[in-house]
Amino acid sequence: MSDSASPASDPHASDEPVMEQEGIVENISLDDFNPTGTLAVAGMYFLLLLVLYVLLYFVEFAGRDVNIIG
Amino acid sequence: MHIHRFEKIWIGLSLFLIACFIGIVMYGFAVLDLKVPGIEESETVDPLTLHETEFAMPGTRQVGDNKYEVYMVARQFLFMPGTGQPLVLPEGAEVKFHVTSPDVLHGLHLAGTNVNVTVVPGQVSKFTTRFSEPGEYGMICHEYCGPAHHTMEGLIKVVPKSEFDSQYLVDASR
Repeated sequence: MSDSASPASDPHASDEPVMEQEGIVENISLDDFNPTGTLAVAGMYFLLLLVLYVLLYFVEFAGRDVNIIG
Repeated sequence: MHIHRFEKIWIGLSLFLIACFIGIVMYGFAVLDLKVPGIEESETVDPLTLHETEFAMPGTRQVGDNKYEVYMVARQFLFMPGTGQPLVLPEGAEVKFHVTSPDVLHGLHLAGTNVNVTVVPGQVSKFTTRFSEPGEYGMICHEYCGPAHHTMEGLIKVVPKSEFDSQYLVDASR
């Protein structure tokens, strides 16, 4: 996974700030990053899974009458 | 280890989802009484001496008020009873099936329903079911059992309770 070209350079020991790359406007800590959109999408996905599972179980499976009851 | 609070939320959601999946299946098992054919009362039988057991007279026996037991033999390539003449059962009754095979592996599936068992030579597959409506249910073998496997089928005919009488029962008092 490491892209380091030279085996001598340790990427963790580098003092060079990563922030000097282009396009980065602001450096924030992990806790300040709030991906609410991702949370909403993940929540909807969980909800969809739950609804589909309930439909699958109660309609497609339990609803097919003549079941094994013992 | 530091975990971001959003990650905690979706880890929690995942666990909740798994709990829901398990809870729904447990609800079906405990409240809706949906079971799978199990080995709770496993019973073996010698396939060579079926004629000395209850399976010598396959058919329906009444064992209680609105309770019946069906002894069925699945063999190449028919169900006894079921193939040729339909197996007639009363609507709404609790019916316990005992199915075995004297030759090879067979399957028993009632098409369009959740009744589905594997029939293993030497073992008695047991399951209890209830037909809540009159009608006809096709039975098929779903385990390849030989060259005519595809022709192995039968019929269960469920009739209203008033039309069901002793002519559909076998006399087991031998």
